[in-house]
Amino acid sequence: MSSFTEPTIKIQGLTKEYFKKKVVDNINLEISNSCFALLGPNGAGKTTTMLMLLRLVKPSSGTAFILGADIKKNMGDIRRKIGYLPENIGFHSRITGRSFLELVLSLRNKARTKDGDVESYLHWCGLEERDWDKNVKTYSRGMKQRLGIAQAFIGNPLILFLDEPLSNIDPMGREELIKKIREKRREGNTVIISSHIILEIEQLADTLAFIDKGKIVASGKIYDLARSYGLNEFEISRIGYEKDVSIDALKDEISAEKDLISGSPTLLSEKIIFKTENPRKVAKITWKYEDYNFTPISGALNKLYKKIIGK
Amino acid sequence: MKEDYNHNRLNFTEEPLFLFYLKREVLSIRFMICILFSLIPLMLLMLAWGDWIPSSQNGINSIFWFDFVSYTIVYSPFFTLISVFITADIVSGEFSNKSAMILYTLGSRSKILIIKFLYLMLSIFIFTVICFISFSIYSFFRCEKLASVDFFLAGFIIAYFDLLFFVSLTFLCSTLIRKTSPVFILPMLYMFLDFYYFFEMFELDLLSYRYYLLNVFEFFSDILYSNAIIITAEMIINLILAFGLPLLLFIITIYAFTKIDIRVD
Repeated sequence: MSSFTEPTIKIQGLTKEYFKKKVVDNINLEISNSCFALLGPNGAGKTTTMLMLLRLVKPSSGTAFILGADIKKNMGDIRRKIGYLPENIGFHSRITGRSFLELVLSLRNKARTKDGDVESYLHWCGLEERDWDKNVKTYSRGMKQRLGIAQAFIGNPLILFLDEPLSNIDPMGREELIKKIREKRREGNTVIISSHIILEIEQLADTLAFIDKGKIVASGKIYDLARSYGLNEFEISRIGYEKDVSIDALKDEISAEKDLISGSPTLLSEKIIFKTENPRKVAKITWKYEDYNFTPISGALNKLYKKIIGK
Repeated sequence: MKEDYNHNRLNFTEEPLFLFYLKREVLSIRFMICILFSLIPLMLLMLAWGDWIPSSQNGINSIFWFDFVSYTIVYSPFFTLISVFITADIVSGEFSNKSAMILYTLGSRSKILIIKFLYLMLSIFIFTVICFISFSIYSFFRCEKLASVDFFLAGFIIAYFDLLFFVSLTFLCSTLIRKTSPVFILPMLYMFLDFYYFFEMFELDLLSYRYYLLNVFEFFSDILYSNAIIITAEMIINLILAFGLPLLLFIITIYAFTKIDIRVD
């Protein structure tokens, strides 16, 4: 999708100090086209890192390159390619959902927008049509969050920064939005998520960095991290019913690969659970199918979090 | 993809954001109230005018220049309070309710501030125009005469810059403090110190904006009444400071805003 050969985001020694206290300490990361998550406890430095990448917070030292451009020098070029959902979302009074999106869209990159985008994104984020022209002040917190997500995605920016994207959303809505964000990811958008909700990360991210006390303590593909910490149980779960192969056919496909999985996989109604020493290869197979999601077994990320952050 | 963006960047405009802010401000209840309040000094003037009807052009010019421009606008804190009221939450309000458009548009900070300042200037302009027009309408009905154009323009410039200075000062506070209540307090404190001769009492005239403005008022009075342009070094400095300080405060605001961190925790 992207013509850039370098990583989408390259962070070099990013540091932020407040009154000589380092809240982000010399972060070095490379994020390629993926759904990347920053995971860590409250106050670990996730939001500050994200805000530094957006140049809303000035780094004390270090820099980052987004799509090859230095954020310190070329933020003007970069900002039109970025969508951002702040952690604490708020809206002006006396504005409707539709007019808010119209305003944001009018300020975004017009080359990547189409007629009817506003309606399609209002629909996409799950707001009922009857609410589109209501004052945002009358919206529930969940509806505001949905509108916030829509404004981040509208105009189809290349990179999305989502800070605690699914907070305030009910469980059903959460599932629906996870699927939609994953679809966007498949369309080639790079999604950066900051969260301390493990379930959210487990279902959305394919790459992550654990951040604690301002430092990156571990990073990489989730399945690589899981394996390197001795967690070799994985699952493929069905997340859609649109066009792909049946779960049985997929189980047969991975079972047929020589030495790929150890033992026989367990097939549940919507999941295949298995052990493998080569999760990268399984990920490659599963990536072809949009209706399936490959992750460490449910709960593994929680264990990983405790091992890395709680140690 | 890169070409897409470069092409688009050339066409990019923040005009919709300017119109959004302008529409919000001009249609706000607060602005309507301010416009209504702008008529109060005129009402006070009407009461003071009493039964005396000036018959000459000089008479109406004097009422306009000394009673209206000097005592009602420049010497009265009333209009200054209104300008502080219009400006106080212009940036801080957005941060208080977490709706700062800079978070959604990720636009250039200086552009966003320029947009806000432009629509403030325009709001104050509308406000001053309504105030001056209402005086003209009253004087026309009262004595079938209007103040001369030169008096009118000079008075308008003085009144506008008087308000603009306090708008700039409040704007600076609103941008840096980002909490609305202290934003009200600081410019008002300065205003009361200035109005109640605190600076003069302690021989700190140089800190008083009104000191520069009144010198400008005298400068214009000389021109209007005796066609004499008295230019001294001190007068030039007064003129520069009276008209330049609002701009200087705005430049400081932009500079400071580009240096601070923006977060709405």
